[in-house]
This record gives sequence, structure tokens and C-alpha cells, in this order.
Amino acid sequence: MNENNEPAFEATGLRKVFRDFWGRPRTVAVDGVSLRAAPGEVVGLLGPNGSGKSTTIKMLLGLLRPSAGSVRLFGRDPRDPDARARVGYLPELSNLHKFLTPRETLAYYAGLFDLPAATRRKRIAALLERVGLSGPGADRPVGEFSKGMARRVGLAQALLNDPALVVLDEPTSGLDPIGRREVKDLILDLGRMGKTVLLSSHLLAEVSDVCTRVAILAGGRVRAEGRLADLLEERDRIRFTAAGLPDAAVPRVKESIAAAGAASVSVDHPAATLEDYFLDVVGGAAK
Amino acid sequence: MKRTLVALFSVAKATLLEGLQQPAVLLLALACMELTALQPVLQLHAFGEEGRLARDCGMGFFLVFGVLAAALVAGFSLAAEIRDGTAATAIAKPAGRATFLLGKFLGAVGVVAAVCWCSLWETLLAVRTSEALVETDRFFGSVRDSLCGLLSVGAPVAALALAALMDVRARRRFGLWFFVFAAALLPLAAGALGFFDRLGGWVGFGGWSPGLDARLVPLAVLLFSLLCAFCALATALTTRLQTGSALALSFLVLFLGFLADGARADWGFAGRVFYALVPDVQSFWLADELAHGGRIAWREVAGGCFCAFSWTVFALSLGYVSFRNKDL
Repeated sequence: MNENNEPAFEATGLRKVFRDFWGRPRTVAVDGVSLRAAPGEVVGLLGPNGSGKSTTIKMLLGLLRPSAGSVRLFGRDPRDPDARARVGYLPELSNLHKFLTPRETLAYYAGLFDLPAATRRKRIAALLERVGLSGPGADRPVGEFSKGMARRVGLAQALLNDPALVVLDEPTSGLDPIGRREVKDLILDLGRMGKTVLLSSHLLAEVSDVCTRVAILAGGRVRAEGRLADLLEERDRIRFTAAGLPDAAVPRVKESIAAAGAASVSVDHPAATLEDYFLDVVGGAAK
Repeated sequence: MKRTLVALFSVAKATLLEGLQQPAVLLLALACMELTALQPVLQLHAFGEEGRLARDCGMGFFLVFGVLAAALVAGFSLAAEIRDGTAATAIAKPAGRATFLLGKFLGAVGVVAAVCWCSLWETLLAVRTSEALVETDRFFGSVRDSLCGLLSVGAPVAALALAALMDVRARRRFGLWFFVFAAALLPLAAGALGFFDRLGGWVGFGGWSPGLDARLVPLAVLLFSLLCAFCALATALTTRLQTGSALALSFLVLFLGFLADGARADWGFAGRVFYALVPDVQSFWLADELAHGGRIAWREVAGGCFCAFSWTVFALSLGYVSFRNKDL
């Protein structure tokens, strides 16, 4: 398989059993999960709390040893540092070094990638700008930050190495609606740039807005998987959208549709999402 | 190779910066310095061995506070990072687990070195402060060096004040600057004292002599090498245990280490096994050799350092075995 077609990651039959101090099985967190992502795909990992999303991600990155099954990251063992050199990871909790500033935090993580000094400086400045921390905040200890601001630093560290695969575990947790929109835009940008993104979330709207493919986990197993459009499409229903249609014309349109053989016809006005409305209001206030 | 070295440096530097800013480490260092500085003043019934008492107490604080600092820093930098997920973020990057663990160890050694540097200077000053016989044309009798005592107690306080000033005016890091100022002010104070005799009289530029007991330096080097082994032990322990447990076990090993020499002599085969597993603290605690003007040979120091190095490698290897497959 050449590098262009090589899956960014491929997990087969992953199982993780957490054991107690005496080695007795305590919890089966993941049970037979198989998952893969082609280059450039934005894959959503959906599931309720405790469904095994974070455990699956940690096994993909070599942070947890699978009890059974296998993982390949760019065709290599994820415990091989070279495989992880092309990965950016934002963990579920942005626990950073609280006495370091965002700039120092990014410099620390950049050191783990051995980026040349000039590239490092340029990239740190660009990422701080991108996550909205380029002002005086860049030189304040992270321990003084709100959860949302710390999350932004976490996001920046995940993109330091210009990764080919970005793994985001609950990336919008702790962010305000503006921050959430920025993260969504960022994920869409990454997808457009041809990056592979694995997004774990229990927020359905977030995943449906950005992902091309999803896997739904429950009880440690994949319960559904496929292209989002295929999974959500209701093939027996059709929706028309019209702009500028006078109210008086609506009954005639309904009649025509019913006469064509439709079992049921409903008409309503589409509503904006609360997020769009909120961003309009806040954006207007800012102007 | 270069990437490994850069990653090692990066982890060690972050650990050092974080460690020096931990309030507990600052309080520990401050307590060590002030206890050392004050004990010549608080001595009772020293029977003419004031200097020896100051030296033994100072080096005792050096060892005990060093072990405390090692366990605390390892706890903050490794146990807490494993628990909070900060370690997972770093290890998801192309730094190997061995590099990460070694970086944490080196950072902890850096913090312990800062505490030891300050503790050594305080001990040198405390020995000069303690009561000694002075015979001059103007004076005959035992006297404490009050000026030296004042400077040794005042230097950490001045370091605190300067660090606070930096923090208020420039939002610079309080903990880090405390160590920078303390590490600089103590040798400066020792240098300035060279212009004064024990009675506080000016001796002029030509008569400069700091009057410090330099024989303490080889002992400090020996004890520091032992503390490096304790840093390795604490790092290894905190791959699995929390700070409190690592601290308790470190002190248990220190206690057993004091017994090791006697055990080898008295317990037969079991004693020899025990001696092989536990560092022989007695062979590092050579303060008695300094009595009556004695010296510690540098060859002895080199032997001790080699022994400590072997023990450090052993402890770090155990730590790596424990950390290699740990779920993060």
C-alpha cells in the first residue's frame, strides 16, 4: 500500500479490560472495536459517557495497551515514536503545566518534536494567534487561565507539528459558543487541507456539522458506522425549500404534492440554529 | 539521536521550571536554609564543639531536606502528571517513555541541586557563625560571628523580598526568582564577610578571607550524589505511587540505608543481600572524618559517586520497567 492510500489509523478487534490491583478484571471498557480512517477523512466517534471513546483513542495513540486486537498508525505500531510524529492529540482534559505560560507550554511540546528553532518560533506565534491568545495572555501562567482558555492552549499544542492526523477528544468542552464555532471552523479547515481528523464527542450537533463519517460507540462496542449522509438520509421522505413563495400559494403546492401521491405533506418555516442566532447577536454587539 | 536529546532537554527544563515554582519546594528550601542559619544561635551545651555541631546539623538538613525535595518534585512532576493526563499529552508526541522518564529525573535533580546549593552555603556560613575561640591584641575568648549570622539569616529573607518585588512589578515568577536570588545572595554574603573578622571588624581589601570551612565541599558532593540516587528512587516509585507513599518509602530506604553497614557485619548472608539492595548511607555520611581537622579524600568522593551512580541507574531501570507498559 503506498503512503497516499495508507490509512491514517487502523484498529482491528480492539479490546481493553481494566484490572484491579490483583489483576482481576474490573471493567471491559472497549470490546471488539474495529475502526479505520483514510487520509483526509473527518471521522466522528460518538457515544455517551463511559462508552469507550477515550479508551479507544488512547489505544490508537499507544497510551494504553490493548488487551486484545491490533492498532496501526500510519502503518506502524503506535508505540513507535516515528508513528506519533505525524499525530496531533488534544486529550479530554487540558491539564497543562500550571506554572508555564502558553508560549512556554508550546515551546515545551515543540521540543518533543525537535522542530527547528525558526519554524518553532513562527509556528508558536501563528498558533497563539489562531487560538486567540496572542496578546498579554501568552505570557501569563496557564494556572491562572479559565477552563476555556486552557482548552485553547491544548488545541494549539495539538497542531504544533502540522500533523497529518489530528485526534481531538471532546475539543469543545469548556468553550463558549464562539470558541465552539471557532473549533468547528478549525476542523473544517483541517479537513479541507487534507488532514485526517478523529473527533470524539457526545455532542451530536458538533459531529454532524463537521464529520464525513461517524462511528457510534455504546457499551464499548461500535453500534453503527458509516458515512454521515448515508446514516441520516431518510430515503422515503423528500424536503423542498423555497424562498419568496407567497403564503397564498402554499395550499396549492400542498395539493399538487398530495395529488402526486405523497402519503403526508407538512409545511413549516425553517428555523436558524440557536448557535447561529447567538453568534449573530454577539457579533452585532461587538460591532 | 538529536531528537531524543532535544526532547530530553525539553522535558527536564519544563520539570525544573515547574519544580522550582512549587510553593512546597520553596517552603522546604526556606525552612532548610533558616534552620541551618539559626541553629548556631540556638545551640545549648555544645561543650566547645559548636562548629562541629553546626556542620553536622547543616549537612543533616542538607540530606533530609534533599530527600524530601526529591520525593516531592518527583510526585509533582510524575505522579501528578500521570494522574492528570499531562504525561499522556507529552507521550502522545514522539518522545519515548524512557526519554520522558529520564527528563523527569534530570529535572528533579536540578531542583534538588538548587536546594542543596543554598543549603551548602548556609552550612558554610553557619559553621563560621558558631562560637569559636578568638585571640587578638584586643580580645580573647569565645565569640559568635554575629555579622555572619545576620547575613545568613537575612539572605533568604532578602531573596524572598526581591522575588516578591519582581512578582509585583514585572509579574515574574516568585518561586523561580526566589531560588535565583538566594543562590546568588548567599555566595555574595560569604564573599562580603571575607572583609570582616569574627568580631565584625574591617580587615581591608588585602586581608580578605571568607573564613569558610571548604572541607565541607567534598562531603556535600558525596551527599548530593546520594540524593541523585534518591531522585531516581522517587522517580521510579512515582510511576506507580502517589507523592505521600513515595515520600514514606524514600525515608524508609534512607533509614534502612543507615542500617545497611551494620546489617552486613551482623546478619550473615541475609545482611549481605540487604547490603546489596539498599544504598549504604553510612559510606556517604562522612562528617565524622572532618573532626579534628580531618579531610575527605577526593578518591573517596569519586568511589561514593560511582556507587551512587550505579544505584541511580538501577533505580531508573526499575522505574522504566514499571513505566514502559503503564496505562496512561
